[in-house]
Amino acid sequence: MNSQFKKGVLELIVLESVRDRDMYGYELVEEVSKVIDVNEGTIYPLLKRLTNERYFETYLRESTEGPPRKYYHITAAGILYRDSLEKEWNEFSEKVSLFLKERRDG
Amino acid sequence: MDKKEFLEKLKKNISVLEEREIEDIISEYEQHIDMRIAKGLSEEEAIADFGDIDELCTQILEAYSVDSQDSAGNGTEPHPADEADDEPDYEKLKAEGKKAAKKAARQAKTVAGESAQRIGDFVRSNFSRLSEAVKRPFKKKRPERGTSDKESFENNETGGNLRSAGIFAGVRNGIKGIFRICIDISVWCVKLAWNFFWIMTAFVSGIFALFSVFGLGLMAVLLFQGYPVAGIGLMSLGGALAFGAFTVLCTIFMVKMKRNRGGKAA
Repeated sequence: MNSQFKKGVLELIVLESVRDRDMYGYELVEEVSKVIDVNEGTIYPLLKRLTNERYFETYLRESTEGPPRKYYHITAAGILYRDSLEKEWNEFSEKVSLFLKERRDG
Repeated sequence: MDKKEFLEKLKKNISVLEEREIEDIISEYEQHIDMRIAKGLSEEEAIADFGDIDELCTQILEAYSVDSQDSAGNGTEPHPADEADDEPDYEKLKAEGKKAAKKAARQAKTVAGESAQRIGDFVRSNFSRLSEAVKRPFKKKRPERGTSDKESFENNETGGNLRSAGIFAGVRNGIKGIFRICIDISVWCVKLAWNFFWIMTAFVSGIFALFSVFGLGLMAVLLFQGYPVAGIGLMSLGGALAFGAFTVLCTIFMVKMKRNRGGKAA
């Protein structure tokens, strides 16, 4: 898949993944990897950026194995941002597929 | 490249960031690699999944709005992450301001809610205490009176049984019973009066305190309109404080009295 495509929707997928349940970094990377094949390294900077923009809050929680894990929790602003991204994505994909369909039929 | 090498290189490349942030990032990547290894990958494979390390570092620095070209040149100069945001990006600033205002409003709301609840609890607990104090003479004395009634009844009965032995003894017991009831009732009345006295005192002084506060408010308004009522205003203030204090004193005294009696009863 085109990496530029991925970059655009990665935020949406990450925000959607964390919406129902708080997750720690690795868990989130795995979740996102199920949907799109993505370079794992790029997700952490994205998480950082979303946290800096207050779409995520983070907290540490002890784990049974290894050091405490940093969990990501979506904020109200994050949910609003996710909704706007989803809307944008839907409009965008609809427009593109409509365009492609028109070309094919016409 | 093994884990140690990777982490060291990563640390070097993002050294412009704050110490805390660097540690945070490093620990997160370290955890990721460890978990990858636990899943059965080799160190090299786990690290290879991150792709090119320079590109990765550029992305991390981008996330902090730090220009990686700039930071590569003078790596020693500490760039706090937020400083880079200080460009006149008004939309963003506005959004931040709004967010902060909302947060403050939320906090204020919770604080107000909490304090209101606390005041409510305080009033409720004191009110229940007061109402108990009011009910006390009726509530507490009733069972005692009941037992004494029973006792006197028993006395009368025994008096009846002794009639064959001598009417005198029966009459004496009967008189004794009646006498005891009289004493009980009078003690109860005295206690009732005593309680009533304190309740009324507290009540009256409370009313006086309220009136004084009312007067104080009135005088304050008049004073602001230019009337020479500073003296009366001060007097109202004094009255309010004095009567208020007296009310509190009476209430405390009553509560203490009740506690003492409760302790003795127990």
